[in-house]
Amino acid sequence: MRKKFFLLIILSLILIGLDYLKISKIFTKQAEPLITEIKDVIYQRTHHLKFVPTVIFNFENIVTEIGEKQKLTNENKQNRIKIQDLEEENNSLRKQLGAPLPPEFKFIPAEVIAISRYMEINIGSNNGVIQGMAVVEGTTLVGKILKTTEVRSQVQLLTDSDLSVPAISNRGSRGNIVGQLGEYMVFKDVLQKDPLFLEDIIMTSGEGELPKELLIGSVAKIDSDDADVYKSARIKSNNTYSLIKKVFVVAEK
Amino acid sequence: MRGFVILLILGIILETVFFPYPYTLLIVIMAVLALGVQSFIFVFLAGIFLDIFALRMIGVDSLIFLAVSAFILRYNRRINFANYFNGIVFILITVSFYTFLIYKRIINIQFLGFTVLISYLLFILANYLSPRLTGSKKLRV
Repeated sequence: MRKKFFLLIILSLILIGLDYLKISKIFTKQAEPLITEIKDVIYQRTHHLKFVPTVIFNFENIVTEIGEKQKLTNENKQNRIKIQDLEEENNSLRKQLGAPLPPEFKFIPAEVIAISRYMEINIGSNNGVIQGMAVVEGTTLVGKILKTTEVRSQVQLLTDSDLSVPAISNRGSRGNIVGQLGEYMVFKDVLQKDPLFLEDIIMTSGEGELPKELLIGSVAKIDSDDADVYKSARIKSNNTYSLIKKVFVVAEK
Repeated sequence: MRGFVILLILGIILETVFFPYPYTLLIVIMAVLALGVQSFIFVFLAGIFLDIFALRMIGVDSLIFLAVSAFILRYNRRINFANYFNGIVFILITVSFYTFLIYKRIINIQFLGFTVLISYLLFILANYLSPRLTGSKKLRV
């Protein structure tokens, strides 16, 4: 039995080595489409059950939020018309001045098939996804592509401790968004002299791999000690990751 | 063994699709306590399947699970893991360590309470799957 045990240990070490050299991908490639399909079916079919505890415990808040959202939807419709007019005016002015139009992003749609420590989506290198690409829901940043196979990809969420994203507030204060043990995000390394207030909007600054001006969240709580060089703030995310069904991978054209 | 395989599939799906909690490790511990040295292949394959499903480096979980199995089998006589209290304490320590190492999550009261509850339920279930776990198949005179 001891022989069997050590044999299995050696086999595990060999498999680790093969995976490190990316040789094991030849074998796991065959299972990828089946695994993706299984996860997709299970996640999508059970997704609506996640709302049940939320609805039960937050019924009154939900009714209030629905009312507020209806008001916002009406305002949104009016703003869309204004935006369209402004875009036309902007484009014609750019043409007059000879300035190039801003580059447009290419969005690759994807469905979420799992949420554990990382989010998994049902597209991979076959769809043009590569490591480091940003993943968004609407205009809000969800995370960054950590790993891809041919048919699925792993997204490192903003709440992950190993991810640090350069960010900027709407008042111009720069810092880094760092995840905290999968629970929340902290806006760190903000100079004491830089303004930071509650409800400030935080977005990507464009430094690093991620595109700029992708929303991250808003300031919920500020931690500041005058003796420190930097201050930090806890950020309230615009997303509830466990409720996301569809995301987009940002591929710059 | 069939029961443990079904539990393993459920555990891997729960762990990789819904919530980052080491269900698979719990099932592996139960299988080792129930099946003894005959569980090595099961433990090894559990690690491999978990790595493939979770898109981790293949072999890492097998190594961890085999190490845990070796510890249980080596010290079972001294500590008697089949005793509910000893078993749950061991599970709490192992699961907390694994969760911090792999999922980088903090251990809080809800986590500990959930672990105690699910361990207790698994002990009861494992006893049905393999009465050897708590010695209920021993010869009585």
